[in-house]
Amino acid sequence: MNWNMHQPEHNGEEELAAPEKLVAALKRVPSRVPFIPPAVDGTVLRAARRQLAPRTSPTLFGFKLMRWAAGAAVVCGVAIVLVQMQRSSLNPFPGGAFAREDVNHDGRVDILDAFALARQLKTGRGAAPPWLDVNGDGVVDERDVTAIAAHAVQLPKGGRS
Amino acid sequence: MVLAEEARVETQDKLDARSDLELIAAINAGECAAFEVLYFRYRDWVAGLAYRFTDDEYAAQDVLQETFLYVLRKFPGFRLTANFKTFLYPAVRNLSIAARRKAERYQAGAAEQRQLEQTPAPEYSRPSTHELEAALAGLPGEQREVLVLRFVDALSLAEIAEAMGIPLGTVKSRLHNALETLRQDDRTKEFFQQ
Repeated sequence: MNWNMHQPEHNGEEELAAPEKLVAALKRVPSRVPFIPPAVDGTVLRAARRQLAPRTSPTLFGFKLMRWAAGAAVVCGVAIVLVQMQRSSLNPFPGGAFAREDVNHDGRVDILDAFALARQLKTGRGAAPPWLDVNGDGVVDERDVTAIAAHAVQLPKGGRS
Repeated sequence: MVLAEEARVETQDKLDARSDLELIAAINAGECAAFEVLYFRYRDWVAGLAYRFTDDEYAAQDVLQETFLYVLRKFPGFRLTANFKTFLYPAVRNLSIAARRKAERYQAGAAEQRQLEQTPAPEYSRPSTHELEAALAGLPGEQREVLVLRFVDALSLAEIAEAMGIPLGTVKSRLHNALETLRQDDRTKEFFQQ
């Protein structure tokens, strides 16, 4: 037989080939495609948009928020460092909370520091350094001596008299 | 509105020359338009196949919708390793069987339901004056399905075997028997004559 055959791509399957005329006729047989209402298309395509839409809103917003937060943290950190540096330039003893009252530099604040400041003010030898303005009123005077003395005799919190 | 959208996407499909694999890669990358192109490329085929299985317009619509929602759930990360029709076929078939079972739960006995699951729906069961259609209607359902998949849907024998979940030898024997029947049939033997 010498038909004009629809050849399959596999070798040795010639017996499973169909004549071109039959294949053409099969393709002409109307395939019954049912009516597809737009609602079906809409449901599928809406689901696709929901699932495949780039998740920009939460992720991107979160990413931007994180960048802003990181930037703000850096700015705050720099500001804190600058303030600390400024304080350090004014206060030669930045490590201790009462270092500015430690006038005689003996490592502790006591009545001797009040005496030392009083003596310095009385003798008037040199200008008093600005960090000795303990009460923060802009001048170094006997009121700072009083403040140091008050601090020296202050009892610790919870202590008994 | 939806019709306009549909027309837009169908036009887009005609203009979109990307292969199925390229579309799937684009969908994996989050391109929704690629899914729409793929949907309209295979919508009618899926609907027609579902109709062949269910012989019910409304059931076919449900199957169409469920099939593409099933496809959608594969993304992202979907990898197509065969013809897309080969991938779609078992999904359509199983969903069609489920749809028919649901529709006929209260109408068919258990034996009939088992038969429904084993045999594809008669595609050309309706009266037809066309001789080829009549001859096809006389073929067993599984032979007719293999014949249509091979020569109308242009699937290879291996793809048919994969799609239907049957051995390659079974595909060959069904196709051979279908062709032999048509060759012997008075209504279709002219197609085999030179």
